[in-house]
Amino acid sequence: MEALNYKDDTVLAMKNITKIYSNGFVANKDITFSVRRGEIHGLMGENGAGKTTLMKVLFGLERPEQGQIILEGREVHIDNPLHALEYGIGMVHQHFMLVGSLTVAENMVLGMEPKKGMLFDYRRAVKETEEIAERFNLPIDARAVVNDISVGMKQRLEILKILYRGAKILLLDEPTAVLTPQETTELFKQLKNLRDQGYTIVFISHKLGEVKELCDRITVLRKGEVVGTADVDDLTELDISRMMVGKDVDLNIEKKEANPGKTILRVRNLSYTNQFGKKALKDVSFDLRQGEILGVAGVEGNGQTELSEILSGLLVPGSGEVSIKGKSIANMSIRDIRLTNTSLIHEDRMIYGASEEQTIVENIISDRYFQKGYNRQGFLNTKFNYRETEELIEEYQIACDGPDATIKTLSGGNIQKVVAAREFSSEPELLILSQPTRGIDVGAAELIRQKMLALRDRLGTAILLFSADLTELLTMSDGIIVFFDGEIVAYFPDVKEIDEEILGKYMLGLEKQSPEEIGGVIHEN
Amino acid sequence: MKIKFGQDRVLTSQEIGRRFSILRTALALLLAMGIAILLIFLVSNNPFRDINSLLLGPLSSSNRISQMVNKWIPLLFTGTAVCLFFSVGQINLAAEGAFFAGAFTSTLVAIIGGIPPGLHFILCALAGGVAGAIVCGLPGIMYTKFNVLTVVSSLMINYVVLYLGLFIITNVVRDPAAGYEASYRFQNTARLAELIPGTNVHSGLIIAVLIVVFGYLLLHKSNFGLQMRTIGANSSFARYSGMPVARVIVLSQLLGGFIAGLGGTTEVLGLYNRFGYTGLTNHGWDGIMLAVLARNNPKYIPLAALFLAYLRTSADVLNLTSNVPSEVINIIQAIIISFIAAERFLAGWEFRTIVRNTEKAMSLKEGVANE
Repeated sequence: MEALNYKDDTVLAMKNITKIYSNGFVANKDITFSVRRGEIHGLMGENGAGKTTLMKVLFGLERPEQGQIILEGREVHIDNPLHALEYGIGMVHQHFMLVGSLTVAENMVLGMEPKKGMLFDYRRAVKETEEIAERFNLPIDARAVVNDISVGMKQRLEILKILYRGAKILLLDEPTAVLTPQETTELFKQLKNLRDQGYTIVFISHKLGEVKELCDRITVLRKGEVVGTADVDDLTELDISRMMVGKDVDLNIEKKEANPGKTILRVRNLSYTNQFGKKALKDVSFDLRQGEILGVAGVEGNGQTELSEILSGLLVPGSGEVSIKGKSIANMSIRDIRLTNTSLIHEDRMIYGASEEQTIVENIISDRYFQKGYNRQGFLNTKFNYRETEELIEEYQIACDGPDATIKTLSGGNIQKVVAAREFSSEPELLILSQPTRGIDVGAAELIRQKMLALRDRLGTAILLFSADLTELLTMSDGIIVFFDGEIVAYFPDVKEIDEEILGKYMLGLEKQSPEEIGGVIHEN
Repeated sequence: MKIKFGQDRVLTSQEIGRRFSILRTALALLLAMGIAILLIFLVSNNPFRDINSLLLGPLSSSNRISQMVNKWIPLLFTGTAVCLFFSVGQINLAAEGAFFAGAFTSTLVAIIGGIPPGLHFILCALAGGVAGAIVCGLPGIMYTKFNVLTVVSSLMINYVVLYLGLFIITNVVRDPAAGYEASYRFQNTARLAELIPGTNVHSGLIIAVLIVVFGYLLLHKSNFGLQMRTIGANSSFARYSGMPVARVIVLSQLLGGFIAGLGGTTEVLGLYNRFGYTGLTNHGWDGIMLAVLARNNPKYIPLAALFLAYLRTSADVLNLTSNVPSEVINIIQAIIISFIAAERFLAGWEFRTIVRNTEKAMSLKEGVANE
């Protein structure tokens, strides 16, 4: 009887949480979510569904616009992480928050160092680290320098760190993203062990198998809202996948039938191994034809970023071949690639897309200042450039003070409009687009999508569209390829025959097409 | 109600930003002057005379004015050079070494006889400029090829240049007849003529002004300058836009180095008849200060350099006429630079002004819409 009671005991509840970012993006919409004492609770959802934001609210890193946090039946206000730790809530971030040049023990006690008189007592730090590691059965070398230990160890250290600070509720943000399968198995064992000792764990993930294996209950988020909460045992993987991708209202886009022409972009047997030795791309081959939008679907981290960076010349592939209009890009600089009449939009808007300290004019002409009209004998043709920019501001409805406004004075949506205005106005034959509408308002997103379609229909631009927004992919694309674990696992020549649910199964690795079906994306001509 | 947009025009955020940076500079000057006056009261036995010397000393005789102009000329070169380095995002500190290298390399050419006037100076200028370009270019090349921190390599290279220069001067071209450590006399064909007869102001002034104009046009009006400023603002963006990042970085360091080296050439051939430096001359360090004051825009270098030359001349006057140590001037300099470099100074006020202004702009727009 008592065991049952303890299972039902809600230790933490978040009620009606709404979080709006300063660029107007609503990350959490009226979310209500609760966790029971001594359970492992999976928080699931696609990228951008609001999982991390919700946990940041709980950990005091983000202030919600609305909502309450109720801990052990009492309302609490958590203004910063120290506060959260006082309440016994600790978070392990996706990217480790460790000082690499310090030892494990030094990291462990950082901010609450044991002292001997005025001085830091390193010996006691080591002793305390060893004690806590032993207590939780999470062995670690206290004297090792963090830079020298494995990723799995770093994670263990992060977990120990919050336990050392007295956390009873552990928030883990995609802890397995960086781990090898062996390390993952080990981690799960440890987490179950912690649960059995009465600790409560919130486990953020979008990997179905892991959640099925580890969690007691799950809550699924989609586009900032709660889809549902359920016991894991009551759900199949397919159910969860359905909840995660769901079905959304249609976008307000009218689209004509595609009329694909000859191949513009040809990718053969492309492989790439990243700096950590992980195979990010494995033998990827596909073609993209004139007048066609090919969507690239996949959960983030399955090779799409690497592919888009190879195609734009930022990364050099390990092996394989990419050619644009029959010319290999192997020895091309980014400018050479752009000069094949290719336009590029990177997913990281503020690093690669725009220069925030510079003006709109300077951002618009950054890829074309050297071309005819934009300069006279090496000197910028200011009048011409301003006129062009003013026209684009008008055409793309960019809300700003004028061509002279610096990028940092614009909202996210308007910044992306500047990026799109530059990349689209060069009338490209090939367009590589990554997350073109991520995190921006509906109006800006719609304008960018309309312009994209206009390019396809008017100029026959070949468009490769990477997007985490499945509704966008299914609305905008003519065909779709799906990435899982660095490979193309499916090719759908006609998006009208599929829906989010089907895509979801392939994206999450539940299914894979036959090599013949996948080979359909190669159009030798 | 009718609102006239033309008369009641609301400022843009950029305009507010520009006004605040002028205000920031003016306030920094004022504060520094206040502190300087306070210091003079503390140490001087004739404070009113000395405050007068500080404020007006450089203008008190034509001799002092030309002294000030001659202090101004080399600063125009090094200030412009450092603007180029900083604009492309490289903290290159080798302008100091480049100035020195320009001075001693042109000396080697200037002592050769038998070259017609005019041509002789041009050859000296080329030698000095190229030497400066090498000195500043090396850290740039090391950065782009091997990712060596420019700030470190450029700092070190100054000392390499200093001791190499002194070695060459003392071992190769030292004039035993000079009576002190100095080179042989420059040929008259190499020296720069007086610009205004009887004033001591040399014609290097014309070259300096041309260099400032060149620097401004290059940085703000040319394709190359756009590349430089874009790389300085966000080099990942520049690269993704297709700009040749490494080439622009190296070229701009070479160019700035050439300018600083030319500055060294003009200085020795304009003011002296032998090379007599025994250490670094500080012109390069001053250039760094000037670039900060001018916010990396060569357009403001003449003003910033004039200010510095004025202060330095004041220091000389104080030195000659009072018991106030010239270190007071150094304190004033430090205060001014610190205030101007402090970007957050007055930031709260600026931000509130921008917010109020935006609200005003929005209500105006609504007013027009409702009409």
